[in-house]
Amino acid sequence: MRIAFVVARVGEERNVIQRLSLVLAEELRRQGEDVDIFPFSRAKVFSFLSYRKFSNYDCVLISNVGLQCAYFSIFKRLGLIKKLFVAISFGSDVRATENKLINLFNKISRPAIDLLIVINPDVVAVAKNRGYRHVQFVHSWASAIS
Amino acid sequence: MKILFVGRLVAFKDPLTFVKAAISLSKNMNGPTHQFVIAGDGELLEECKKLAFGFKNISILGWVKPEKVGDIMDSTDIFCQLSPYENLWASTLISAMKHKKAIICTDVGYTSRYLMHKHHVFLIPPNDQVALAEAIDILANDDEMRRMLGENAYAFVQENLSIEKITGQIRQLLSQSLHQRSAKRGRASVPVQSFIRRKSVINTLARASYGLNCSPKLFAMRAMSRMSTFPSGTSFSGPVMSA
Repeated sequence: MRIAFVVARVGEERNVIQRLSLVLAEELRRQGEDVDIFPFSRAKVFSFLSYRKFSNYDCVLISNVGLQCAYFSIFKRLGLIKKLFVAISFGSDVRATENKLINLFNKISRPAIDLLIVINPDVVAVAKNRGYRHVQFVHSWASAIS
Repeated sequence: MKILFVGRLVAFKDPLTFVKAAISLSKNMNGPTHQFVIAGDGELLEECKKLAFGFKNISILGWVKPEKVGDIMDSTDIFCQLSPYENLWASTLISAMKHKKAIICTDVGYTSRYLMHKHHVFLIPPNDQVALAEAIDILANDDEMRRMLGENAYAFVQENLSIEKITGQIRQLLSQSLHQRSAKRGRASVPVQSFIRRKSVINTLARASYGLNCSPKLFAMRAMSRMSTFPSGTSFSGPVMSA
């Protein structure tokens, strides 16, 4: 399977999510998948043709329902991305219902996401309440970075 | 005995209960002094420092590099995970489990579904500094229970939280979704194809009707009622009409 893996804040030492994502990408590769990392920064928001790179992949995997997810969800909703769209939630992105920005990201992303993978069993109900249709729980692989 | 709290110093992780329990244990202690260590930063850092002021056995380290957390964890006897909302799966909790530490954990959300009381962790109610102080006391005085909790927690990580196993599950989810999607697309294409087929039939009829100077509807009716009008091999010409 050819997977385009969008990861934000790559290289930020304090960000656990990007470390977990990179470790997951490495393990997916080790298990035989063809994974390419697409680092996402806020500046990428202005490169309107970046979605075109996904045409060579079977699936777009996005780490965290944040700005990166909302951004590519717009292209998906416009029909410009026709690939399977999977987001991995690490909790806070779906849980925080009073943060206006997070609410906006969720509102934009929700219809575009074909599958939401959560690593926190408590978040499954929260995500379903927020309107995500396909939510799956897997355990966290944080043992690989500790 | 060294007791550790690692995490963001925010209400979601409840470091204040840890500091309050540490203070109460430090005040009442008759035996050897426990060392309480807090690693992390956040909006409650100043409040934690203010509360812990004057207690030399409570150290607040601030943010610690991820690679250093392992070293701190190694030298710890008891680890505390005290969120009043959810604990699974905090990276720090998994790290403590992997380092075979005795863990005191709040019984919230799905915690007790995966981690058994006095088997994997020592469960206490959330926001309860008295219960935390009691739990620290129990574990500090019971080497065997600390060892047993650490071993069982480590076994849980080995059995359930390995990256190989979880990546396998994620791969399975991705391929299932991909298959479901292509199956759905296959079903969706049927009505589209039949619509195109219907349209091409109408176009053929229209073309034929133009050749014969009659409307497509009339032509279709004639064709259906008197099929013998057009012997096989009859060709029709005329402009293509949209349906």
